This record gives sequence, C-alpha cells and structure tokens, in this order.
Amino acid sequence: MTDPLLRAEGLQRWFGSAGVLQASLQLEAGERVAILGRSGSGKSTLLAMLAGLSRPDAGRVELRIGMGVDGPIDLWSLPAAERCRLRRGPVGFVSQFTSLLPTLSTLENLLLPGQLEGRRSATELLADAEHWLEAVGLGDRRDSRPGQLSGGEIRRAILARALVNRPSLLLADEPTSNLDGRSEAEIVALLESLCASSGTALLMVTHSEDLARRCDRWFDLEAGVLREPSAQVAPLPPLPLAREAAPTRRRLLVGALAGVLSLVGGTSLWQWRQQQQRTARTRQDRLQRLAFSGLSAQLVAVERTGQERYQGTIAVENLEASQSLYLLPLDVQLYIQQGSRWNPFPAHWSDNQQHVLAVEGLRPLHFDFSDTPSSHTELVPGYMHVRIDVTYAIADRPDPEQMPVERRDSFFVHLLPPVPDNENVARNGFPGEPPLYIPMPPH
Amino acid sequence: MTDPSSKGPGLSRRDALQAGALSALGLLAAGVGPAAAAEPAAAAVGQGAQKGPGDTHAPDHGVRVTDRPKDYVTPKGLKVDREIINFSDIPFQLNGYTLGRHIVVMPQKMGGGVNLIDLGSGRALASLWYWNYGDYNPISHHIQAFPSANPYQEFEFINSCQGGMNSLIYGMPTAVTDPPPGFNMYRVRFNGDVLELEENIAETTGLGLGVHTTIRPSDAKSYCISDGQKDIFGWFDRASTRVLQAFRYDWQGNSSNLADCWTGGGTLLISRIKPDPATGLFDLRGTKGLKINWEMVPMGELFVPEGQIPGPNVRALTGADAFVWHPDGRWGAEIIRMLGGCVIHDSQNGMVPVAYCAFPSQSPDTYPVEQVDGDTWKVVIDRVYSPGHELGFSPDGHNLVMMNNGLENSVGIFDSSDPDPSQWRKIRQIIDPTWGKRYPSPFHMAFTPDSKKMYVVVLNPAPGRSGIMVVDTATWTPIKELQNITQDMQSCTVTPDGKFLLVAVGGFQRYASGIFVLDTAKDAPVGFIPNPGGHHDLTLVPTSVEQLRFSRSCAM
Repeated sequence: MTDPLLRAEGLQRWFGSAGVLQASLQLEAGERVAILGRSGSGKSTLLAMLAGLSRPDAGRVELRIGMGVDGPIDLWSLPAAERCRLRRGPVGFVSQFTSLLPTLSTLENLLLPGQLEGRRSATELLADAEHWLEAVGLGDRRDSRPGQLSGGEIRRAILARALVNRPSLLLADEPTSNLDGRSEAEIVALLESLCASSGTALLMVTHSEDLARRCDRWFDLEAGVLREPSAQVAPLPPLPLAREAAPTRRRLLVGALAGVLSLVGGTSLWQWRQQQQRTARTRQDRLQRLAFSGLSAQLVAVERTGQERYQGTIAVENLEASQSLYLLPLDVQLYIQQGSRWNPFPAHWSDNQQHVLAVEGLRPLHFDFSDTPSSHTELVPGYMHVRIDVTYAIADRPDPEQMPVERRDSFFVHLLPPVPDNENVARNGFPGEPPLYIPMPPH
Repeated sequence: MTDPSSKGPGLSRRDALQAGALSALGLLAAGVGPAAAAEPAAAAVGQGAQKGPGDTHAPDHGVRVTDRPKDYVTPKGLKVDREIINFSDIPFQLNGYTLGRHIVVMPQKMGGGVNLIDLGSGRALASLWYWNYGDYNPISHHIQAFPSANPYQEFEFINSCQGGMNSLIYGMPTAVTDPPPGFNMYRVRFNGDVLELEENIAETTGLGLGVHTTIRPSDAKSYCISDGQKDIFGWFDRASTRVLQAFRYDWQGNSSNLADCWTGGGTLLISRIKPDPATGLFDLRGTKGLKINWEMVPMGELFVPEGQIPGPNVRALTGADAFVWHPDGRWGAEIIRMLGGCVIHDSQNGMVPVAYCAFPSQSPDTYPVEQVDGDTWKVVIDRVYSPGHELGFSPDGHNLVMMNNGLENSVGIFDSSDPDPSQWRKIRQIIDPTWGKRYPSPFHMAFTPDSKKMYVVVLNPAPGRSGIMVVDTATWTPIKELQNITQDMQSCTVTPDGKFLLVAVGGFQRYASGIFVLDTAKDAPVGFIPNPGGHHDLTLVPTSVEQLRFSRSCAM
C-alpha cells in the first residue's frame, strides 16, 4: 500500500479546556472523499486546518505532495508563507465565498495564482488559464468581471482558478453553496470530471448527503467527532474531552461508585443510567435556553475604517446576571445582494476576537470587511443590501462538560457603498445626513 | 338519439312495464317505442356502457365489478356491510387537548392573503390571496372579525394590508425594487364554504391604512383602522363603509436636533381630516401621506431619532399605529408610539380627543388636550422618557396598559375606571430584571375574560426565542414566565371560554410559524398548530358582541 497523500492524525479544537472538534483521516492520491455535516458542525474549520489556514489545538497534518521533499511534509511545522505557497501550488482550495477579485476579469483572476507562484512564463500561464476556462465552459466569459457572472459561472471560475496550477489535492468547502439544484449538479459533475482527468485528489465538505455519497468515501462530522460510517474502526470517545485525564478519571470513578451504591440500594443500573440521561438532557435544555434567550446580540455599529474598509460591531450581552456565559466567535460571513441572490463576500473577525470570551454584561465583537462589489441591487436607493451571518459556540463555563450550543445570528442592513451615488441617495429623503448604514428590523 | 332498431336484445319485462307506466302517465311521446324511451338513461351513463353479468353474479353489496348497465336501477334497501366512519365525529386534538369549536383568522403577512383555521377539526377552512384580485403588494397585516352566532355558516372580517417599501425590509434579496403602492383594506366574508372579497375599503373611501384594525365592542357596528406611517386613523361605519371620522397626528419637536426631536418635548397636533367635498373621497390611497418609508417595527421607534428611517416627513412622526377600544365602546385610545402615550377619544361626541395619558414612569400621568379650532387640538408635552409599542384595556375596562419599549422597557398600568379619562391615573409600573435595554422586551398582551390574568409576550430578536409572562392583575405582579418557546411570537388572544391563549407565531417572516397554544388553567404549554405565511396577527371569530371585550379590539 502506498503512503497516503494526506494524513491527519488527532486534530482537535478546544473550547477553553474542552474539546469540541476531533478528527483523523487520510486520503490516497486521486481519491474523492467527502466530509458531511450540518451547517456549523465544524466542517469548514476542519478543512481550514487541513489547508493550513486555521491552526489546530492538537494533532498533525502530513502531506506527500512533492515540493522537493521525499517524505511527508508536516503542514503545521511550516511557516505561514510556506503554507501559503502550498495553496498556490500543490494544494488547491475552493472556499465557499465568492473570493474572486471584483476588479479583475475572469481570465485575470485565473492568471493570478500562477503569477503569484512566479514559476512559469506568461505564455504558459495564459495557455493554462485559457485551457481551464474552456474546461469549465467559460471560454466566452474571459473578459467578464465577477459582478457580470451568474452564481454558477462564479463557482466554475473559482473551480478553474483552484485547478489552474494543477494541484495534487483539491480542498473544496461547500463548492455548491448558494446554488440552485441544476447549477449544483453541473458544478459537481464538473468537479468530478476535472479531478478524474487531472488525477487530482478531492476532499470536499458538504451538508448534502447526496453529494457525499457520490464520492469514493465519506465521513460524518457529528457532535464534533469525525467518523467514517462505512469503515470498521474503533469508536472514538465522545466529546467534549477534558484536557487533563484526571478529571475524566475522577468522573468515571464517581460514576462507578454511584452505580454500585445504586445497586446496593436496590435501584438498577438501568434506572441509574436513565437518571443520568435525564440530568444530561436537563443540562442541555438549560444551555439551549441560555444560548437563545439569555444571550442578546445586536449589530450596534458599522463604521468606515478606510476608503473601502468597514468595521462592524456586534454587542453581545448576558441577560442573566446569575448565569455565567462563555462565547467562542466562529464564523462571520458577509453577503451582498446582486440581482436577486445573496452573493458571499469575505469578512473576518478583528484581531483578538477568536477565543473564548466570558460575557459579563455588554461586550463588543468587531469584524472587518472590505471586498464589496461595484455592482449591487439597491432596494433602498443608493445603498447595498447586506446580510451578515455570525456564528458562535456558547457554553456555561470556559471548559464545558457538555457540547457547546451553536447559534447563528443574521443581521440585515442597507449600507452606503465606498463611492456612493449621492443623487440617488438623496431620493430617500433622510431628515439629516444620510446614514452610513440602515439597520433592518430584528429578524 | 340512437336508432331503436340498432338496440341488440329485445324488450325485457322491466322495459315493457316501464314503457306502460310512462304511457299511462302521458309522458311518452306518440310514436316513440319503449326502447327509445329507455335511451336517455343509457346516454346518461355514457355511450360506451355495456351490460355485463356482474349484477347477476356479484352479491349486491353496493360494489360493482363491471360497468353500470344501461338500464341499471339502484335497488332499494341497499345493504352496506363495510365500516363507515363519520369524520365530523373526530375532534381535533393537540397533544391531548380538545381546543373547542373556534375559527381563527390569520393574515399571512408575507403570503399576501388570509386563511381560516378551524380549531374544532384542525383544518384550514378557507384561504384567499389578494394577489388574485389585482393587489400586487398585499402585506396582509392586521385583522378583526365581526361577531357571528355561527361562524361556520357565515361571518365577516376586516383585513388591513400594507404596501410600498414594507416588503423590502425583511432581508429578502428580491428583484422588486419599486414595489406597487398597496395600502388596501379589505372586507371579506366567509360564506360557509369559501372566502369572498366583498370590498376594498381603500377604494370606497380614498383612505389607505395598513395597520391595526379594531371593532367597536359595544355594538360591532363600526370599526377603526390606523396607520403609523401616515399617523392617521379612520373610524368607519360597517353598514355603509362611510368614514365617520378621521384624524391625523403631527409632532412639532422643540429641538432642531433629530436625536432630541421627540425626547426633548414638543407639541402633538391632532387634526380632524375630511374628504374632498367634490368626490366624497380622501386622497390618501397607496403611499400618499406616508411620513416614513417603512413601518414602525418593534424598536423602530429608536431608529427614527437615530436618522436611520428615511421618509418624506420624518420629524412630524408620532407613530399613531393603533386605536384600541375601551370595552364599554365609548372611549378609544390611539397609541402615540413615538411619545410613549395615547390620546383618548370620545366616540359619543364626534370622536373628539379628550385626554392624553403618558406611560413612562417619570412622566406625569396625563397632559391636557387643548382645542385650537373646530377641527384641531394640541397636547404640549415637556419631555418624552420612552417610546411605547402596544396598548390595551382589561376586559372589565378598569385598567389601561402600555408597553414602554425602547428606553425604559417596562409596562405602565393606568386605572381607567373613572368616567372622566382626564382623571385616569398611573397606578403601577412593571419593571422586570430580565428585560434588557432593548431586548427582551414586553410586547403584545391579552387578558383572560375575567380580567384576572394578563399574558405578555416577551420578545427577543432572531434567533433568540420569545416567551410569555403571566401577570396577576390583582397585584400586577408577574407570577410565571415561559421562556425560550419559539422565534417571533406576536399578537395573542384568549378563546371565548377562557381556556386557551393563542399566540400568532410569525417567525420573522421566515422561521417557524403557526399558532402557539397555552392552557390558561395551568399556564402550561399545549403545543403548536402549524400555519405558514409570516403571521403578524390573529383573530378568533366572536360568537357574540360581548366577546369583543376581550378580543384584540380592546388590547393588542
């Protein structure tokens, strides 16, 4: 048996001192593998760990992709610049965001990775880019800007850009998100045929079981643990895990002692287990209530931090003074309406935001974005229609004994673009200066 | 008619007897033979029907295994030996509860229509969509039904619909950037089978109002519709759809600074408005008369001074969004949301304004209403401490309650038992430690018919889930709270027997929606009845005028 192309061992992500994500997997050259999980289950986080984008709290990722190295490359031992170089070459990455640069044409977007890599001549790059544009059916759209492409065309362009440097491994994060059924089928078929023809291995995360089952193998990411349903593997321990073994052992000992005492007292072990399950359910219900009724989150500000840069502020507040609440910001995603669809654009948490926060009273969370499209739909004259999706993991202690609850908030605003059309904006009849943003009702 | 000669077999004994009988009765045309007389029966069952042996070989259990023969006659005394279940004998049960025979009417805000839910059988009895009648922006918003002794046979309701840009504020990436004007009010009748759109009241009167709709509880002969984007309420005669009275409210803030335009005090002008004498119509249909471009959503009162709601006349906004009736039918209170108060009108005296009640804890109880001229009144208010959002009378008429949302987030309670509204006094303020600055906030209310309990919806923004607080009205003390129920709980009402509280679940137009049911004896949840459409309101069809006292005509 050959050595695997990708081997990930014991990858873990912690909420404080408790584990909330645990994964091990390996991938052979040319193999197609899917990771299936519901929205917010940690699929994207796992893929980001495998792509060198998000450092795991524990574990190791090995790649056998050449780069002048005979043996495996320990991904997380590489400096950031080297990891970036991997993604420009042997590891293709398809994010679920649009990620095409709006000011460049489709062809220019495809040329960019090769130009950054700087190993091939302009002629070679152009030939490759044109080949992949034809391969994804965008030969006649080479001069179009991303704003002029449909959602399906954008996805195809992203796919072509990821393959233009002929990677050994393609990591695809929800490659068909935001597409209708027909476009989804087209993209998947294209992805499969392109990977097969170029010998590229594919690791795709998706929430669609239909897509997952089309791959050679698929994993299920559930309750923070990655499992391969069809494989005969030893069951992984349930999460969350304690960082030190001692508390776990202590809990087991206490549990065993309680069980023995229950039996001695005439109560069956079965009844004792039922009681334990009821207690766990009650605690989970309490955490659910805390997450959905005890936490207030409001978009309180959007400010300009540069000519084309914005910063948003979400104020989170623990409404139950008697109850501790801890929050780990996970994702922040920006969508801007173009035509009659929400198209994704990048946003990210500001510095020092992505760690477990104790929420006592009011606490601001900042996020930044700058990549807004030049063309957009205006429901309020002169304004972009913007949706901001924010996901957090919520727990009642910094090292939770039970799975944190995930909550997603959507905020809707109308936002002045970097270069507003003042005449159009004036049509609204604001009583004073036109506001930078108009919050929509809480929904 | 088929040629008799083409008929195959000869006359049977039955044919001969039938022809003889018809001939004796003079029903057989001269010259027409018995075979021709039998022909219509054959044609009625289809030209292709052929007689088979089934009627002779199969037992006569009402089931035929062959085509019906041309001359087949159902024998009397047909024996049916299969089990028959009469569906109407099966009552609808929700988690073991029988809810009773009540009809709930729910406008589908984003669905652009209305449907009837029968709590007796668990069915949607009928549905109607205003799109089909040429209204291409029908935001079916608020509703009230007139009493009917037998709603299953017939009843009527009024349904207000918004329009304009209101469809653009719910985060839908629609391609409709210039929506039609809308703002229609419909009178709809259920005839026992279907819903019939009887009248567009906006077309009849020239007034287009899209928010709260309430029926006068003393006689059900008139109704009011308000609109806080236009700051207008109209009082309509049910029989003629004539506008009995209409008033507009305008604010003149003391401060030129928008942020202090309301909190800094000012003058509330109340003007009686009249139709064009030449046409008899108002000129306020569609988006005409709007001060702000979209509706006063919960907490929208705070967006206004922050300059985040555009519109042609924002500074004059008062947020006159609802007229609720005192249960005795004489007084009515028009909510003034931007000022956290209400104007009391006298329906026995031309609906003139007679008092102003202020609900925030630091405000004086009332402000005097001064008459400026025959059709204009004013209220001078020194300071506004908090806007408000919902308003209601207890069914016994002894109390008037308002939710001071936004800056104070409390419930203000007046004693409204004095016959002179200018003497009504603030007696209590519920300020709960769980209510945050803006959220969660006390929202819609409903009372039990005996006025002993008040239910308050406690609202959280999505994805937060709303709850219900139970308040003992003897002491105005919260005695129980159900939290974390579901997203976006809206208007609520109690069934006429007082057994159940029904809460419209709108799901912020996209999340889970339907009706939440609460057992009022135990104040325990019963469950959900599904219903799609982003509901904002609901009404139970009253079976008597008396039941309007504890309907949403008196508390919202």
